[in-house]
Amino acid sequence: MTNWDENEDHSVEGHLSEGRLLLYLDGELSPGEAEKVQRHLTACWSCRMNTDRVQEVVFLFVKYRDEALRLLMPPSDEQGFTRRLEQLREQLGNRSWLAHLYDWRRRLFSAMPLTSLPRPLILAAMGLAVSFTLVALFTRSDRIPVVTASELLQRAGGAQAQALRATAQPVVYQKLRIRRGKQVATWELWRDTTNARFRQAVKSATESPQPGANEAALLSELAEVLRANHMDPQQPLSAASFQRWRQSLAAKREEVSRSQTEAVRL
Amino acid sequence: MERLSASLKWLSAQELQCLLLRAEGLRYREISEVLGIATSTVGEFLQRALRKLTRINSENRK
Repeated sequence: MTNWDENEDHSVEGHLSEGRLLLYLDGELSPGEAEKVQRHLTACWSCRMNTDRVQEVVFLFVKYRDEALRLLMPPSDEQGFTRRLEQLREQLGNRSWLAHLYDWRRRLFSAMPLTSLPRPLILAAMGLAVSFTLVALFTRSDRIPVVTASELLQRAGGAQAQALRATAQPVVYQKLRIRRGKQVATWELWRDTTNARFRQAVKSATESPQPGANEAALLSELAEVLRANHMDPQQPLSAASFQRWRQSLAAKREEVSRSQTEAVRL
Repeated sequence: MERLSASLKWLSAQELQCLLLRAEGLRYREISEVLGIATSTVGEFLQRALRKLTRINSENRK
């Protein structure tokens, strides 16, 4: 077995050191140095065996990481997601009972002027409408938890800040899937919160004649869209970004509900 | 796979961070920028991490 000398380029028996071998395998050596290592590997079976040992551990680690990520990620259910979106669109497309009531009232009163109705009938109708509204409000209040979207977003932001404080040298990693028409891309972001360092990369899943230029354009477009919506391009889809976007809105209509799986939906 | 999972506890937080970022496809210079450490230190962390994992992997195979 080769004895590794950790500080030198070569081990005591003239073999490649572990560090140099790793730099070579990771493509971190200059072309000249890489060629020397390549020549040595061609000649030396012992070092080739060590290369295999390193590669085996790298393979095991990547496999373990992929498996761990697979367990963490929700199952891909694009068809189900599209189906739910369609259902939601249909629901939103269907007019509410309030809209139907409003239409019915408008039709009735356009055909029959309000002043022509007997006064007791108008008062009875108004009383009925108020009672109906109150009943609707009270029955709905049983189902809606007393919490505002703003409060939830603040709590989410606070919880994240606390988690970051509890971690030594935290790096926030986000991986987003972007879809525009037929173009699909993966957007990855690394944000070092303590040293204010940031890195991002976008990888297009669809083939393009100019891959580099296309991805750079997509990155700048994403940043532009997020900025236009008062979101931070360095932390998209975060509680802080949603809070800023929400604060920028002139009119807000929001609903907070708790699903059966105990997840809170905004 | 369980062997590797158990052996990860022997790695320091920085060694594990370097391994994960390298597995994401980042070069040493990019990892050094993300973690705010020297490029040579990235190489040392990766080397140490892989040495530990290689040793544990070899021992478990015996």
